Amino acid sequence: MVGPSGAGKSTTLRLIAGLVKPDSGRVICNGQTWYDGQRATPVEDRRVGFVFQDYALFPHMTVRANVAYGARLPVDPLLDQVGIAHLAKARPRKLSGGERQRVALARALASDPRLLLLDEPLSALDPSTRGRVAERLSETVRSAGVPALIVTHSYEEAVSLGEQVVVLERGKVTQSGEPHALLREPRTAFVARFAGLNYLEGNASGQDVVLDTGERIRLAEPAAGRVAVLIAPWEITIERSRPGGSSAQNHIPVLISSLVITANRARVGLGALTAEITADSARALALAEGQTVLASFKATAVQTIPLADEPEPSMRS
Amino acid sequence: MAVAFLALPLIAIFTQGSLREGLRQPGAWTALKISFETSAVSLALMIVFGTPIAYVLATTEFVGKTLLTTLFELPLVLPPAVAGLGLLMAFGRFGLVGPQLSALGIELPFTKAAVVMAMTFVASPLYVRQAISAFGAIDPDLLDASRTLGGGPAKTFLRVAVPVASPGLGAGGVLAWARAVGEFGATILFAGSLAGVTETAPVAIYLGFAQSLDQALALGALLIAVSAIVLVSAKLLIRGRALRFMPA
Repeated sequence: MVGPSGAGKSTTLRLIAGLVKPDSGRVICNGQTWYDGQRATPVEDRRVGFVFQDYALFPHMTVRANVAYGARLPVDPLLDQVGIAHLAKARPRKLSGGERQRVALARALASDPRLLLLDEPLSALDPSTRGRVAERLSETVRSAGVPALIVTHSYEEAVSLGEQVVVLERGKVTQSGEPHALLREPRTAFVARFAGLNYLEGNASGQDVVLDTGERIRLAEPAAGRVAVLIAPWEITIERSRPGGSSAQNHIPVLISSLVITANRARVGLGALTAEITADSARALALAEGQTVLASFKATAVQTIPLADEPEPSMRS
Repeated sequence: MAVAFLALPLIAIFTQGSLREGLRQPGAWTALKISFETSAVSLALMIVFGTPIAYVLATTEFVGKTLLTTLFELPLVLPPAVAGLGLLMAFGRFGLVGPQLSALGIELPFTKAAVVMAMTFVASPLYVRQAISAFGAIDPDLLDASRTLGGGPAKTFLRVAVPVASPGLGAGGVLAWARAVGEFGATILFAGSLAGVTETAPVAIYLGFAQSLDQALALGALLIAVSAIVLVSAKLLIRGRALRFMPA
């Protein structure tokens, strides 16, 4: 489950677990009604394994005691499986972030839950350790064979951890499906930006769009009315001057506002657009902040999403 | 100047008059013994009853909660003499429930039980307030985690809330105990001052002051010494526990 801050993702997890009561509606898990406006199954009876964002490990207990709290499965094999057997006697405050996350996961799994809920399991970690921990997390959850609902605010994490993705915006589901569909066919501004696409707004008539910022863009498929214009960063090439014969129909003069070169790639900020090119190209062109260049891209690389005439707040953010 | 104001009275007790003479009088030790016996029982009662009450007040919402909390805090602002009077009027022989108690053969005023009641009445708000604050400071995720792991309210209370809040509970206990030991006004009104039965140390100081200054001084010094020892050791214990919970 992904979505912007405040969309209600954590709240949804808590509703499912029974830690929060819904104002209305129902909570049904695998045919069992947990909440229907009248009765609410108590939290302790729902058998939900919850991994909190800050892990909520009991500070006065050892790792083993934490995992054993509420355990319905044998504790020691589980400690082995999750790779924390060597930490069994340690106290939570002595553990690293990744270790704490594993303990929290082991504790949830030990209670033999019928459903796993993970609230941003990676956001409390250093970006540098996140990748490794994410892999491990993915492995453990999949091999546990328990259905899991994972909240994340990173597109990359959603793609690597999730089989299905649900997008929540302001409490409503705006898109759901395969992770890659978010990139291929984003339905809202949030989804487009979340998947890393450039997002602009303008007015279309036929195959032309006039952006709010003034530039004109050529489309491959005609559109009409108010639209959101989406271009992937890697579809944008940067040129110094207008090329003679190019099949690309869009060449927009832009100012380089930022330039970040990592090992093999360069992310070039071009005002409202971001382009991704190879680091080699960036160096060959001697790009630098403040220069005026041309952002070029094909009409076929441009996607449009129709917007309502009076754009709703959720579409704008 | 503030330090002098606080320190001088304490120093004076140890230096004016003859401590040795005072310590020889058996009355001093009896009074001290009664003080510590009754305050220990009172503390036990406060902890056993006050802790669950504080937990409920700290973690749940219900109609009338503010009213109930205020009721528990009231004795704090009540003059002890008024408390004593109230206790007498409620539980005395001719008090509100006096006749019912008499019928059961229970006479409360002027007994050790009365001392315990008076101490508990005036000191429990101190403990309960501290306990509420200690429970309120617990990361709610810890309590939620316990529940998702199948822990009902009782298990969550005993195995998570109390241990995690124990530094604060300990601090509250020390405070409440000190208040109980020092309790005078309510005690003298409700429990009287029967030497050997209900004459606690503060009462003995007050009454004996005129006859034997030395005895009063001795009692005072002993009280200061013992109280200081308890206070310091409790603080060290509490700091130790609190440090164990802090992340590295």
